[in-house]
Amino acid sequence: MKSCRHAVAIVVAIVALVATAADDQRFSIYTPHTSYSVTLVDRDGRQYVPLFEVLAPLGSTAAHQDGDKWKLKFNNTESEFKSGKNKAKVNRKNIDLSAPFVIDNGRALVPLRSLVSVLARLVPDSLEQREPAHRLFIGGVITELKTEFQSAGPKLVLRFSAPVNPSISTEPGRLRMVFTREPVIAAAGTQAFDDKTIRAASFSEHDGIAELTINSGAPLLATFGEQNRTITIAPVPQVRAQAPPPAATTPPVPAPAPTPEAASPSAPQGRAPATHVRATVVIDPGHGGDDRGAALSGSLAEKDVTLAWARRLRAALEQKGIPASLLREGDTSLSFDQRAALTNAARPLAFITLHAGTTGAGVRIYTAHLGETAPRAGSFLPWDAAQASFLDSSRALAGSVAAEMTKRSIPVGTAPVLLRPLNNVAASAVAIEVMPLAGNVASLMDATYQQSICAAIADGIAGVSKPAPQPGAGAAR
Amino acid sequence: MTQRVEMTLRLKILLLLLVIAVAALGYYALRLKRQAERLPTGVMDTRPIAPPISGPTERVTLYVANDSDGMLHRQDAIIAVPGDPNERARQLLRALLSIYLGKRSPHPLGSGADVKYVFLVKPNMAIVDTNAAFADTHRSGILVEQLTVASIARTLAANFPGTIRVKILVEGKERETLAGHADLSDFYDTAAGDQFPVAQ
Repeated sequence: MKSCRHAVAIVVAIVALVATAADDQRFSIYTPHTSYSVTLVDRDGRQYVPLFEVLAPLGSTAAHQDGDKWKLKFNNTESEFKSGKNKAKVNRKNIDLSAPFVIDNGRALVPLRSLVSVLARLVPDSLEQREPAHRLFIGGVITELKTEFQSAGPKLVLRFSAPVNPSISTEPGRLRMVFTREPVIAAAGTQAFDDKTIRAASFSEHDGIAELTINSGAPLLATFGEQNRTITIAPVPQVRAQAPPPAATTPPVPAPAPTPEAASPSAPQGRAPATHVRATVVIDPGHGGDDRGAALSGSLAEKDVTLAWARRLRAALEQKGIPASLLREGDTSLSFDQRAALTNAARPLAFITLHAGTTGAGVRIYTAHLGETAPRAGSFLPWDAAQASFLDSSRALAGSVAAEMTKRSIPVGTAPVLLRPLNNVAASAVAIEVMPLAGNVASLMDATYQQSICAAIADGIAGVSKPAPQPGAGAAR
Repeated sequence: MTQRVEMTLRLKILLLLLVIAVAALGYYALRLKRQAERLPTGVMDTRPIAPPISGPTERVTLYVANDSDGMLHRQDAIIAVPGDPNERARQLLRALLSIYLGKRSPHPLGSGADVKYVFLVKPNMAIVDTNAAFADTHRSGILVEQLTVASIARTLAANFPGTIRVKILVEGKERETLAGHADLSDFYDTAAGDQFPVAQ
């Protein structure tokens, strides 16, 4: 009887795991300006994609639900979808959907197979969808990868047609590069090398990512060069006892730690952590999942606005050469503690949590409000006062961002607030709350408005982009 | 013997109109009922929790939040104050909330928002217990929520010297946030070097 119960529990656990894995399937979209991913939703065995989340980073997007109708305004076009129907009117033309349109909890879902036909009516650029890999390329944006094996060394040179910043992890006998945000393509399959140290390289695309795995007989080191357009893979020098050092023109860049996204519960598990960290900015799109945040209008939730702004800010930072990552890429629930823990694990240059409000105008920048009794140094810091040793650098960051806003004549104010997870972050940390233009809530989704403010934030961060003091004075417990 | 009644066309139309009117009124009543069910109970519960206080009046200092400039404004008021310090603190905050609940409020709060109890705990702590309507009907946003918390804490600190740490509860229980943003799980420190801006 007992073994029967165990068997039932195991079956339930397996079903739950499979269900969770199915929920976490991602779909990545690459454009010349930004790249992002959305979570796919399974309905009746078919894959659906949230249309608003796909369109929001591409232009001015507004939508409202009227009974079973979902009306969409995207840039200068108007579209209308009806729940349960296979037909939709997109930019004045009727199109057939491969499965019924779905409205789920206010979210508009279109069948994944019909996404390109819907986007083709809305986006003027060329579209190329790699459906099995869950990747969509807009405007011909593609980064080609070519590999060149050199037996002298030996070393494997990866040449990219545009700069890349993959997540790199190592485990015994393998070095793995994951391109989540770069539109990297290459011939799929395995390329074998006649070498005992670097044995083979295999490229694959799946679940919205591109992945390059290099099998090896010794620990490998990845060295970036030509402004991140080449990556040279070579054995770690001390392992090659008699071999000359690698002929890299730039000093080795340590492999970055897994991004917070990769470290999240939805990411593939079992990846070995990288040993070094590259300074990055962690962006927290406030709220998400069950926590909708403020209801900014009848159809616009704060969680959707913060995600759109976060993507825009990431693109603005990367244009300045500052790596940035998002704590959530889709409509995911994260507790305050999870947000802080993921951020602290990344040891970032700065942490920005984004929010949207309707009171006032312009932008408000907040730093943590900590009591005078909060300890600022010591072997350990209380979790609620992890920010204490970074408060001065957080204020400097807030001041720098505020100065950039003032330069652009954007109304700005600063204040200390009791707002989690600011107090728990062991890095320069600010919260930024954006308000609508002239009280028009729809302006929060306006691409030009987002761009102007995100550029100011990026400039503000760049103004103080020297590494923050590491918590030698104390570690959060 | 049966008598056959001939229905004229006019009678038929009248009857049809009556049926349509009954159906429309029924649908309207159903909609009203659903709307009433959707209203949060906290909004409707505006019954006074305690009888009004009478007694000697005293000049007090209030830190009044203002949404238009996002700052606190120092303002004097004359209110009736009872002898018990906890009750004095409560009446002080009720005077502050009455400004927010007024027609020309600079920082509107939801109808029915109230302070149930204030406990001044020696040596430097104040616990403010609010009712459910205070939090449930509060607008969501960092600025609006923080203005409320800061104005309550600074008002208490201004009138009860020595009050440094202020904690806000909702119906006697700790709540994670006021309306999704301001952290209510921690104490607000009125002696911290960096304070919410006050208009000069």
